[in-house]
Amino acid sequence: MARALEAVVAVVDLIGAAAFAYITLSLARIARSAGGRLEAPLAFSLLVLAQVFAAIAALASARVAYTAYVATASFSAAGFLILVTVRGRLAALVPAAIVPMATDIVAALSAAWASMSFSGLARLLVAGLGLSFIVRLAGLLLLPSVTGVLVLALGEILRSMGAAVLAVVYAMPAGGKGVGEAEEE
Amino acid sequence: MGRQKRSRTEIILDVLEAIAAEELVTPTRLATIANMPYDRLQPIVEDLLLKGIVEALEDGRSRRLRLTRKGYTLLQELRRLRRLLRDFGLEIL
Repeated sequence: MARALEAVVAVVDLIGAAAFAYITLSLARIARSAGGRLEAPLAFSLLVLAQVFAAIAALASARVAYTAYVATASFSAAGFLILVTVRGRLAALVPAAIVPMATDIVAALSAAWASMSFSGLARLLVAGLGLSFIVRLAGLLLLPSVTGVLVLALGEILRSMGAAVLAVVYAMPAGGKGVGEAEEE
Repeated sequence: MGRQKRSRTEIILDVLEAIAAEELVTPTRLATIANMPYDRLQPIVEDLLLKGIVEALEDGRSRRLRLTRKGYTLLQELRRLRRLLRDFGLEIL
């Protein structure tokens, strides 16, 4: 029963994809015959991709489905942003609109916010964890260059090191005893 | 309440509609039908001539404009997508 419903959802998604594809092709034909701009058909083509990913999300295994689920919203957001900014010179603002939506930024801001309520080394380490997401985003923006990969790796190392230091300082047994045990002494 | 300002795409659609309605039209007459000053219309017409959407027939001192095959195809596409282009505020051309 569940599989049948998933198949129905996928078919509905693909009908949506076909509809967006029709609009994309019509706009592309206008742009091509008049030698015009391609932002509008590009925006709708992203909505086509979003629908295709939605169909994949309905059918695929859990891990692939989650990736496709996230991709659906990402492609849609990119398409809508292009549609909003297609007028005049607003297109230059697209990166400024996308960056605050990046989950890395959300994670970094959350970490920064959380660190404000901590004190001592915990504050510093959690702020470091937040910083690692900024570095990670910077690396992502620099991809596919080697520098991008290196910066990405630096972000991951920074976060893992932060986690390790947090564990060593706060959770590992000191002198053979855990934190709770040490406090009891 | 005054009429909303036309986008460039809408102006081009109006110009193409006007040429199609008259079949063969002088730029001055076109400016009247398309409801826009001649000096604003001229660069648009030149652009359409350059892109092969409109062609000019010289007859002595007068110049008449008509749609090419490409122009008719574009007009049909624009007519079909008129609402979408207007509601989304899309500037294709």
